[in-house]
Amino acid sequence: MIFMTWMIAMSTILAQNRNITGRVTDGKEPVIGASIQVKGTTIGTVSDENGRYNLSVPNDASTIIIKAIGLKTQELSIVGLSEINAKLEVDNVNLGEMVVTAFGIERERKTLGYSQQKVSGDELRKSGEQNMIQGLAGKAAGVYVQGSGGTPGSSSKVLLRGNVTFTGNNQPLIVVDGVPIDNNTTQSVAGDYPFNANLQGVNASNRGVDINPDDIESMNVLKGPAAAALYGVRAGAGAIIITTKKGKRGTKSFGVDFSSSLEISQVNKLPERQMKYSQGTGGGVLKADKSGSIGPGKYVPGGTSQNWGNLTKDSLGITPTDNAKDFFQTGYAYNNNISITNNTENASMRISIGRLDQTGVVPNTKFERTSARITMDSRLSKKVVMGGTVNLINSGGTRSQNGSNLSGIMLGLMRSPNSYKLNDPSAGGPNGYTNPDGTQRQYFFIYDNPYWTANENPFKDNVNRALGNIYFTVDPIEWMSLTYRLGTDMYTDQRKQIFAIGSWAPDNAPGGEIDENIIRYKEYYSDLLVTFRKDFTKDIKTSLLLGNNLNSRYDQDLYSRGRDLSAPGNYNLNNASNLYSSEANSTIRTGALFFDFNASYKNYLFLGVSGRNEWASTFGTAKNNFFYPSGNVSLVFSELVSIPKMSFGKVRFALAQAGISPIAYRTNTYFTRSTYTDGFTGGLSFPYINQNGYGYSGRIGNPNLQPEKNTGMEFGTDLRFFDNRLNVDFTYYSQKSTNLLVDRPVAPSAGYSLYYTNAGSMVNKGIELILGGTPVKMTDFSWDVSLNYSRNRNEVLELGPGIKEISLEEGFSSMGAYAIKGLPYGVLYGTRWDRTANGDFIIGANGLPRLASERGQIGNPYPRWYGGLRNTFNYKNLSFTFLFDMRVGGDIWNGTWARLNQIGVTEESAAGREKFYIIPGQKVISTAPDGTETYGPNDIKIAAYNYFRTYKGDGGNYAAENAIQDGGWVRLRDIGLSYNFKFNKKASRVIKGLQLGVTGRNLLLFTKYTGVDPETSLTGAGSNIGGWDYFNNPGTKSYTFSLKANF
Amino acid sequence: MKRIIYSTLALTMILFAGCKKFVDGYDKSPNDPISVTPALLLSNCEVAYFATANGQLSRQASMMIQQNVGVDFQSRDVNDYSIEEGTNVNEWTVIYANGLVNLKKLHAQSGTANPYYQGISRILTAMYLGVATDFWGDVPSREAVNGLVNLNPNYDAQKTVIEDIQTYLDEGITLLSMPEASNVLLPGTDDYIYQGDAASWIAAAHVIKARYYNRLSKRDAGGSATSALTALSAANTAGFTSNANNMNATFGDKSNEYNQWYAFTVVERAGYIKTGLPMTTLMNSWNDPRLPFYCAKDTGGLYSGSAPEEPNLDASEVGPYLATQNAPFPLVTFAEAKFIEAEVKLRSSDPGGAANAHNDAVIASVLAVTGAAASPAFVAAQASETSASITLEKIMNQKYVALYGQIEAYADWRRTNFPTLTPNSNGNITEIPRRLPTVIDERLYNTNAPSHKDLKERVWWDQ
Repeated sequence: MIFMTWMIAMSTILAQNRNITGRVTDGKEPVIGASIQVKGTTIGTVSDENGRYNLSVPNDASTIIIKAIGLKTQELSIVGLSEINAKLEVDNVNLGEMVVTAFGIERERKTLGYSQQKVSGDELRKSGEQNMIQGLAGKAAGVYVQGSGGTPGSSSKVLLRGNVTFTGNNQPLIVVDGVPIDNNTTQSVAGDYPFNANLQGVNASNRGVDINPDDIESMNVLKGPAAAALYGVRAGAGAIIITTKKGKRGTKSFGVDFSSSLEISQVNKLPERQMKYSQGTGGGVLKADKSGSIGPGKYVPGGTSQNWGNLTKDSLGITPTDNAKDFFQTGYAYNNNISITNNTENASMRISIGRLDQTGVVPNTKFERTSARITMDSRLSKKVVMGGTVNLINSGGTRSQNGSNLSGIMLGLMRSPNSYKLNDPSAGGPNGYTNPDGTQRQYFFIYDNPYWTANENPFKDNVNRALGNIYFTVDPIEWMSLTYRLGTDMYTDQRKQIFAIGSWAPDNAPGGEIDENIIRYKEYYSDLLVTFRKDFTKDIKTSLLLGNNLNSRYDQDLYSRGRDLSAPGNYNLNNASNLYSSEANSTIRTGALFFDFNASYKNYLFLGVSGRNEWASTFGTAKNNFFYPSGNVSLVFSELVSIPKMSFGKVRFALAQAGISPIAYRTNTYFTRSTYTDGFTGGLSFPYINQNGYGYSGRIGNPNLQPEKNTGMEFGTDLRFFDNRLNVDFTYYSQKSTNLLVDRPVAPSAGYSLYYTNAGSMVNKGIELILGGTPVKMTDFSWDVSLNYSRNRNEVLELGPGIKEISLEEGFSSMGAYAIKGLPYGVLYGTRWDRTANGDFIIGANGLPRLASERGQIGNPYPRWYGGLRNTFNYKNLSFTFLFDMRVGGDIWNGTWARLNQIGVTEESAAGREKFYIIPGQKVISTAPDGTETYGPNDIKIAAYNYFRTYKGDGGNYAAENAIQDGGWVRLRDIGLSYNFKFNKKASRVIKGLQLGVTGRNLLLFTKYTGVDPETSLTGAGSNIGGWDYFNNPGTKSYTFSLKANF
Repeated sequence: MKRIIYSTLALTMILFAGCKKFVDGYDKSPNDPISVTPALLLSNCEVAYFATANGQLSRQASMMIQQNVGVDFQSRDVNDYSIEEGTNVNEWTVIYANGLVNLKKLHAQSGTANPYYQGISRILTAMYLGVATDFWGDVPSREAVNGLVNLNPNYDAQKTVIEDIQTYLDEGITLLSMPEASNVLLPGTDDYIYQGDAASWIAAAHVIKARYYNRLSKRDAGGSATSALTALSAANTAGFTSNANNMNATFGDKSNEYNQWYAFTVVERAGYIKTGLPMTTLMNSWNDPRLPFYCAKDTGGLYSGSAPEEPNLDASEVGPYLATQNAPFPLVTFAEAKFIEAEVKLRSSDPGGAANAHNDAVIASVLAVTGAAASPAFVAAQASETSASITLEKIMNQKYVALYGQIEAYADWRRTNFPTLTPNSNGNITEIPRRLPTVIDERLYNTNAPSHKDLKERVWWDQ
């Protein structure tokens, strides 16, 4: 096939050419960058800064097409002419904005019957974020971004219009220049690890972090199935289409862009910790007066993690230490980018190199990224264009231990008593965190000292990645064109975790441990697209795309663990006396045939219909191919009726179905080597005493798997008023996911735990509103405002026969994240207080609320609505911009706060320590023989210890609901000031542009949340759940100073 | 134009076939097998049983009867009787979805050609069911572990479950009594417990039979004693005559092979659990030679546990008998057999026999725990009961100490109320719990599951 088209291309390459020249204007000014193209070919050029062009055309060419944004397109005959000047009229209707849709197809925005939003590369860079996904936060409607903390390289998750699947990938497909890339977040975990790896470990990256934001021209967000349906079984969660910067064929030009920035970041928010009471117990008998256990004493670290001891200063004479303040440092990020563009008439090339060096607020953490990229294209003949991109990336760094992890930075740090200095050089050890004998200094023997962790237990990762594609386009005949694209994404992620001898995190503590983890990923992607165009009449124009797509994805996770190290300081597997390894592989293959038909009537009615039939290896043998249709229509009604002040008006409607593939290898029931643990220890696992053992994996295989289907309906309007000074883009959508694959829980007494089956359904309904305006526009001054608002309502409709709730991911013993019929996806579900019919707490004889016998919904981690508001002011060469990002609602289980209350570390537990509490509620007065209780107002006094340990904490008979907090916020996401130097004609021969800027990120944060920055996620982007905070690493705020120059 | 349409259609047909071929054959996992050998299944089922008997259930049982006391975090919650439907999901799951289902597979796969594998599978099935019913009362037995055939297994009455336990043990004994030559495959090192020794399994099965006959002491004092004595006599005949026959869980030196008492109390959850004052008080009063094995010295240099109602972080830690990384953990012992004999003989009005069995049991326990024969002084004081002096309390108090850490001791206490224990006054309920609540996964996903939430409710044999 490739060979054949190649032959066609070669046969046309020898045709004779002639030159035409001319000038393009809009009647007054020259039009810069207008495209001049020979009709029916890819031969073309763009006009220069004076509107002039020079184009070599084949002798037999008869017509050229001249296009420019915001102006009406013209077709002009060139027969017998060598100079053709064009005067393009302003086009109020056809704003001509070109957007990139599925398969990288560029289309005019007005012809689309579905919602799609573009975020420009500049907008992305304003965020100051190094992770392109995080850079989207607050910038687009219907785009929900969830960061996981402020450590360098930490993952960010993105959801378009909410969750669409229970077990599959809820994050959109990321496509770079037409080729999907991997954006997984993977925790390093041994095959015998029995728990949810996302609750612990380090802050890993989502692999999208490898893409250098400086290379991004634009990100087009295809929010719903209508926009993404052409991607078939990977489109259920939408898609983000990234277009990278390229050269522009057709003009002779050479340019060098250089940018450099320095970001200075600091922790922006930490839980308030008390500086009054020392480590100790005694809290159990603490009285309201000072006569209890508070008195002179002797402080000996260890024995307890509690901070219900004596007054640190007044009783013990120890100056309290704020370990958290001492621990965190200032992080620096240096980001340098240089790119060279060289364009000629028939070829273009762009080479870029970017380097990021970032250090974190946690000592010794860092993230580094080097990206080298070359993209070029070349016109071989008037009918053939070839091109390609190669992007080589090296990224990685030293990560921070996180979460429910004895080495967790925040766990050891936040729980540390003020009576104990974690880093104390006067303790006599070689370091402030070691004893004189070199062992670790600890205030409580199972928590690793965070200084020890940061210095002795590094987790390093190193990713080598190659992304690339080659393509060619042939236009053999005027009404047909053919494109073939072959792309790949391959990387090796090599990780090493060291736990020095004497660390407490590994199961075999304190013997030391080394983990070597290699993750390999290989994706091949092939597209063949054939487009036919047919204009039936002057008014009815159609195009038909036929395509074939083949995709193969392979990944391997190799894990080797060495425990019980012999020689201290030698971190090689050879030095371990206890070795274990595990391996996991998966290959997923899909093949698809698809079509996309578009028709337009005059300049105002547009219709699109598409379909894709896709085969995938993840389905069972019963049926392995399925069809995904879509259709959309849009009407530019402002062409038909004239409405005062309205410059453009469009309504659109779309209906589509996209799929989500099952997880690989779920069609059979397999045996595995199990790990037997009760959650408190590492447990027993195989090989066990030199003998292997296998049992059923707990999941019943299902040979009849079908794809999950996300069927979406949306309608919306694009309205523009006052000569485009005010834009309104409104969308309503309703998307129903059906056939959802459910790891249907099975009662263990049936012999299994899970049955993977198509049983669920869920609906997302919502609105997206984008408002843009230019309230003030003067010669030297302009003020632009843009606002986006999103609200999504999700409801789980069905989970399978008889199933009311399903745990989405293993949580903590008192709470988890569930899908529950009738409630939103991912609700926090856990232990609750018992209540009277009136909703009052029922207070037990001990003065504490009684625990309800069954768990229930305690919170919803997703916001009621969210949005962003950007204001930009331009005065001459000065630009000032700021973005407010709002999230209203969205609960977080603040497990950190609950635990810090229990152990008496929070500020509030100290402020109210020397008094009694009466918890508002109804106490039990009497119980009738039939169990009916009568209640009266509670008047039982309890000590602060019991109040904070159980009612506000997570000790004793506590309810997880007490730690649910509102995670909503208003934040100043970014604020920036930049100055563009203008150069005179002489200087501009050397330097074309220079921009200096200063940007602040997260400088203001308003929230009721008592923990770290509520933009946090314990489980990270690799997980389908959110809203958990259990000693999560803190977020950051930062200042960035930048310089940008073009030569 | 027509030619192009036809050739496009032809190309599409080719591509259809191509797409299918491109994905075919990639649906099988390269990671996990879809069939395994009986040896692998047996290893799995034994290790899962070790986890069951030696893990959280054994810690919880020991805290209920105050052999140990939870002084911090979740262990303190258990100690305060804060046990809810989510607490023991893991253990329930291991019993059914790791133990019983694979034993059923082992039995089916071994077939009549491999009676030894089948026999061991039956005995282990009885042992798992025993743990389940002792903690949870009515549990699925006859309809259990059938996968998609029955996702809502019925909960059989405890009486039925215990009958099933006896039937499985009988079947196991019959199968293991067949000649070695009738086996194609023989269990060996994959049988951690007895290395495939059929005679040892048979003998131990008889003791387990006695255990579950005696379990019915409250329901049928006389009949249970008679049946238990018959079973014990069969055990004796089969060779269960000394500590050498003890059935133990075996552990190793690697961290994934650690005795879970060691993994919990020394490595991962140090400080959560201390020994219990009621047990150390009893043992101190006996000058018990097992004390240094059961307890570490407290901060005052004594062997003294924590009171359940007042967590004492300075109390004695769990000692090396349980908390040593590779310490074997008893599942069925000669001492237990002798204690059962003592109890049922006393109940059958044979105090002399009861006294002798009691004395043998105490001596066997001391030898098994300390590795040395009990001193004459200790024997004189604690293992020299006579038909005149023997009482149920003495037997049960000694058994309580001998079975330190074993789940069985909790069942004994519930049956006999010895030793006399005072419920934790800081507990959420005013009595020592008599059962575990129905686990949440059963409440949610098995329409036939009952809902037992009241920890004070008694299982059938406890009524």
